[in-house]
Amino acid sequence: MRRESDLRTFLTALVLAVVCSFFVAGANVLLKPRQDMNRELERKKNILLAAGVLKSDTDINKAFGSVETYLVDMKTGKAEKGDAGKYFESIRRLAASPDAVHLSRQQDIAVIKSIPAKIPVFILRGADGKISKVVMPVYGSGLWSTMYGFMALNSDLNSVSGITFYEHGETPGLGGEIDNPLWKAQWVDKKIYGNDGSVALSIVKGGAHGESQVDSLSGATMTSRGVENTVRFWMGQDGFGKYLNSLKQGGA
Amino acid sequence: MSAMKVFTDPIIKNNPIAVQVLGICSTLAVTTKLEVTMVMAVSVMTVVALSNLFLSMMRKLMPSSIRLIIEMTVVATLVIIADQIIKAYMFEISKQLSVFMGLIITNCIIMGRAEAYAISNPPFRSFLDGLGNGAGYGLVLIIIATIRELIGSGKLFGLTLLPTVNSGGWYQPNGLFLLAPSAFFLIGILIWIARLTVVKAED
Amino acid sequence: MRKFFEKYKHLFEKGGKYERWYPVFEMADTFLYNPLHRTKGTTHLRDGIDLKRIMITVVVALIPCVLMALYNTGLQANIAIAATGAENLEGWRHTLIRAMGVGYDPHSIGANFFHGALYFLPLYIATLAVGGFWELLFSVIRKHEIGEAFLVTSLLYPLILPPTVPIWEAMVALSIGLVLGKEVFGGTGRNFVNPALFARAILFFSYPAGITGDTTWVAVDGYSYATPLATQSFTGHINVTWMDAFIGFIPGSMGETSALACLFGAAVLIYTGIGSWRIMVSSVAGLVIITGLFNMIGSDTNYMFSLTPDWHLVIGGFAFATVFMATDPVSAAYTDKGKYYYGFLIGSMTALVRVVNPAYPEGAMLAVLFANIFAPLMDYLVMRANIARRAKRYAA
Repeated sequence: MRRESDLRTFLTALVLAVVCSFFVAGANVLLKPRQDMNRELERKKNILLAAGVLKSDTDINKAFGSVETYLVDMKTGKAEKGDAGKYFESIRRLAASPDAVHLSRQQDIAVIKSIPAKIPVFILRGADGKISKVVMPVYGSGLWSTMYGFMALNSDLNSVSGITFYEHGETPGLGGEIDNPLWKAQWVDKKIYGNDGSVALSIVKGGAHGESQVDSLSGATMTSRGVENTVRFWMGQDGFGKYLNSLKQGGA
Repeated sequence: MSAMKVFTDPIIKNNPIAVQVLGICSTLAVTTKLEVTMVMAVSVMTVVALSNLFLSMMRKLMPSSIRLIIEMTVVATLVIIADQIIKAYMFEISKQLSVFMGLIITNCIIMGRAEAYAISNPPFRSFLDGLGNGAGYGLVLIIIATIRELIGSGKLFGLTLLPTVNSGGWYQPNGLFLLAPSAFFLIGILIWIARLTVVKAED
Repeated sequence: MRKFFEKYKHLFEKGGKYERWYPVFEMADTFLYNPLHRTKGTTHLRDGIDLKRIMITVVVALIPCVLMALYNTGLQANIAIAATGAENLEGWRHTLIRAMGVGYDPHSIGANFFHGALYFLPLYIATLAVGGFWELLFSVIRKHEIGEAFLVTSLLYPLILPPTVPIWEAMVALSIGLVLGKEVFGGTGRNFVNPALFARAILFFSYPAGITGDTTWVAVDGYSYATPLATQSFTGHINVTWMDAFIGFIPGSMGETSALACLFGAAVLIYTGIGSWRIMVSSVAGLVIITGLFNMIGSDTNYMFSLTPDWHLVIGGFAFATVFMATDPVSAAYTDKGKYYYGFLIGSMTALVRVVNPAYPEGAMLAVLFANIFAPLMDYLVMRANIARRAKRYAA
């Protein structure tokens, strides 16, 4: 067979394709469980981080064992025990699916258009079986990107236990400072709601005082506004507001 | 040329970035943190060495009409495997490398070495040539990442050397060094230095 | 004096004792007396006029802006102090003001000038030192004479900075700007971007916290003031009167606030033929047309759409950028037609960045740099079109 013959060209390509796909598929199958586990671990870590219970020597899987997952119906605020499943890999797809909750312009302060119909929340309980922390996934538009994170409230369902963002594309050094532990520490124990029950938390430029104010990030006005709007949306009546109310009245 | 020279030449004297001016794109994207950069450098080095090795072994079997496609397929396979391994064993870093790991496929150095060297040289030498070019690429990446991480965030390998103002220290980091254009400037200066010293010495 | 220079000249000429330092000698000599010979090199190709004369004219045109910078910086600081009280002020500037007994009265012209000078002059001296250092270093390495262009760059640069910018940050950015924006391309006359603007951009991206934000515009620690562009974009209302914005009695970058002072500069530059009226006119036209279009389109989510062109002309750094930055003969387009396109690009890009881009309220600086990059391409296209037209004419 000549080296440049058509048959030979075809055969070479075929053999190469089979061999290469064998290796690629093999790598994928062998490594997939480990990759999924990594993602899962990362998620658990962020949830524990927001709840403020993560220490450097915490065994994440063990600590997460006692965390309860509920699925919240975003239209009614009712929750039932469930499983987060593939929620975090498919937020975008779920928010675009037919049963998603569409937001009107007035409602959509976090600029995300629509939200999934069911969203998982995570509840940590104290030794007495009472709720000690509620961790809720939140997301909203910053300056350049959609910022994804977790917001955790204490047992009074008003004061912040912690906030953390696990994915965003804000300017490094400016908006990217939403990852700065010092800034995140400011949020702890701030009150989300005012006396009238509406969201009172705000991010202000310079000299935050009062129990519902957080300092903005220097030089990152738009990102700070994005974070503020994200919190206002998700803690408000169109976000987890209804669910939190029912929790306050003693629901699960 | 001796086998040793095949390996050492591209590290400095014929450096793929500073002298051949290849593979600039990824240099811009993955050099803000030294740790991430190291992983990238090692990945590229492995991929280019192995792709050179395999392609050189196949060089007498390849029909020339689909030569480029074969090269692409081999390189792509290696890159995907490397990407999967990093995703599985270095999750934190893979998050930061994101698409740039996959984009190694388009790195000019790899296809360039395959075309320029591997298809006309024996396997062992091709392997060395790949290692050398990968090392040369890695060297430049590491230099740039060191400067960018130190000036841009006051850290090296994630360890704080200069405590920044935002974290309660005294150092005001230079935000420009966290943005891609700074890598452009730094590569430019490196090429300038390379032209003044290495290339001039040869002429 | 003249004799003094003649007497020691031989020491600095080829073979003399201080040959290496000829550039320094030459600078002192020609700064005080007429140069002995005309300019050579690429800068010169464009115009018969001596480079030195150009630079001095630009400095003269800048005088009103500098005076406004001195007065207004002090005025705004004193107004803020009058509102918040002068008890807690610390720092060497305030020690000096107290020692001299000048006070903080915003109605006293002297007090305003004095206070403003305490912010402008240190910055100016620092930029002069940095500019002079790099020019001297490269002139010694490259063995050319010291160009006076650095004097203009060093004057323009502090004028486009807010008064509170940390001086060391300004110096670092200017160094990067001068070396990467000018010297690596061969120095004065070979730079394709305006070095002062380039340094400003470097500063903006390097230390954004020190140069943007509400606390930077008034020279009082922690005093918060949002620029008219920022208030318009967030609330839809402007916090100053049009007349104040036109004359320049508003906080902002030190030399940029006064459209009136820029108009004077424009008159000087156009009269002497150094600044191109084509660029200025087309830049203004670009801004007016594009913002007019935005006015007509309208938007209920973006307040900037409704800001009328007359406001756009007087607020922000547009007037200063158009008159002094866009017309820099080295980095601007060179053909007449190219100048129209170049100016229009600056005006329209400024409008686009101001209105549509969410990150930057002001875009004049970036617009000029952007147009700088395209200037050679425009010239090339204009010349190609000319050649094609002539070829056609002669073929017929």
